[in-house]
Amino acid sequence: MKNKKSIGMLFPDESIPSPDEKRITQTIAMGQEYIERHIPETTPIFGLLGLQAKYISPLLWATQFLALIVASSLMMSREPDLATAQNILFHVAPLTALFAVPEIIKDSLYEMAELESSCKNSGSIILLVRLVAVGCLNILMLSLFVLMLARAWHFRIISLILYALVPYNCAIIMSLGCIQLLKIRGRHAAQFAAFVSAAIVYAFPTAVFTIGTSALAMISAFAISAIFLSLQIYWLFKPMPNGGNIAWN
Amino acid sequence: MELSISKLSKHYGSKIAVDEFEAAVGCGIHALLGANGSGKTTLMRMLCGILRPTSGSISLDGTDIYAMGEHYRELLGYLPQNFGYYPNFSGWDFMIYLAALKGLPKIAAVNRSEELLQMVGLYDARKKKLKTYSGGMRQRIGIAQALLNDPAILILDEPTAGLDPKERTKFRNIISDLSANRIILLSTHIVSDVEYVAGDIIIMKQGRLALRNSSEYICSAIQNSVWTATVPPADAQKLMRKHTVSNLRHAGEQVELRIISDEKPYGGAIQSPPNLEDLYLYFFREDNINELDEA
Repeated sequence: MKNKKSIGMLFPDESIPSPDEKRITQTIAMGQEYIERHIPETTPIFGLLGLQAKYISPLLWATQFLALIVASSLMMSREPDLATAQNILFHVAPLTALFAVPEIIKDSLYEMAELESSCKNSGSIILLVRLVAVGCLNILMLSLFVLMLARAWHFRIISLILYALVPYNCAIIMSLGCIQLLKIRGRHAAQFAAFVSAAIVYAFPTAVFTIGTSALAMISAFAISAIFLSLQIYWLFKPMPNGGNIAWN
Repeated sequence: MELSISKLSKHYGSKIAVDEFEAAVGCGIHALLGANGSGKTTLMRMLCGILRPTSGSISLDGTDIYAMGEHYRELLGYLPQNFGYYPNFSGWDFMIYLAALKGLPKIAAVNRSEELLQMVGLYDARKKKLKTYSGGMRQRIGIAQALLNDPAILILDEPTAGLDPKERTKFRNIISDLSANRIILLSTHIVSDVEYVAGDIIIMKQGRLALRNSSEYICSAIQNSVWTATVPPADAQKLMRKHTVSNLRHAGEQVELRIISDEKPYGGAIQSPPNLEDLYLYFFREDNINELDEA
């Protein structure tokens, strides 16, 4: 305050003109516009995951619930035995995969691919996020079944896990392969292909348990199915920079 | 801001959809006209960065749009010719979902969705499922989603398809208001939708840029080729077989025809000022582009 007074005494005749009201308003408006335009517009990956999870088809949720009921009722009606536990997993794993593939590629089945691909978060990112969301849900369910069986019937998790993953992988490979090879675009056709694939894998147990289910056979089956699945996912992403699965006219 | 398209081509096997297309577009409304299969949609998809060209490049102020990636897409608003929706999506869900994919923060997404739904007259119907929307309502929500991120580049493929005359007028007013500081490129078959709002008309034929100029200028190229004639019904049939008729109206016993012809088609025919629709019909009736270019 003292300084202000002394400065005022030094320059008694100087006065600062009041700024033009119009210019003040203009400056504020420019500042506001600048701030609004420079808000970082990014959706965090967890936000995108949440968004995809929010819109997961009720059909997929229903099949997870159905698989849980089937697993629980089979557990209650059978005697505790390792082969039985493995057989139960072989039956419920394809069920969890039933609508997984149509859900992952739903953008092309519902003609949303073109719109989604033009958004800031590219088509590849959205497909990846959807793959992770659906994959996580399925893996969570399979883990739940394995844990239920391992806890209730006192088996080691390691002796059961592959009996869930191998049929799951097979159902996904068949469903995705069918849709890719036949270039299926309609949602009902895709759901039918997924249903047929799951049904075929569902019928596997008898054949598999007749041939034998040694640990080595299961490890080999898992390795082969994992390689196949990785290749299919690669083929799914490969055309994305060039429009992916958008149906061109 | 300028979007430059340089020798852009897209081949699907042996079929050439876009053939060495060259143009530069700045702020304002640019209308893309062309018959079905002329390459408009393929060009628009390449401009949106969702389809890679076979050769050529697209750059925004000198930077390749494919290299810009998400920085380009955040400037972009796109309405595809056909689009779907996920089952059980309401109008509001659709807007919020796409706002999130466009990277809008939640509060901005809500505010912008409300504002745009009010603008296109769908705010009261926002909670209804999209499957219950009429074709016009779906098209309006498509226009609204394209504007969610306040895009600097707006690409609209057949935006007025399915809209009634009142909605089309409203749409024209909306894009006129938006055109001051952004690039708007729209394709349409409804020539009257762009005649008065687009400062720049781009005509595509067989994947190539066939003609480009203002509506008035390119119409002047056919100023001696549009005729009006009032004739008996029997003569009208003969004239329709021989010439392109852009309009036909019964006036009592007589028929009034608007005929597109380089020569006087009928004894009593009088010349009329051409409009963009006449030009479109003149241009697509046969290979008249060379004549127009020379004119």
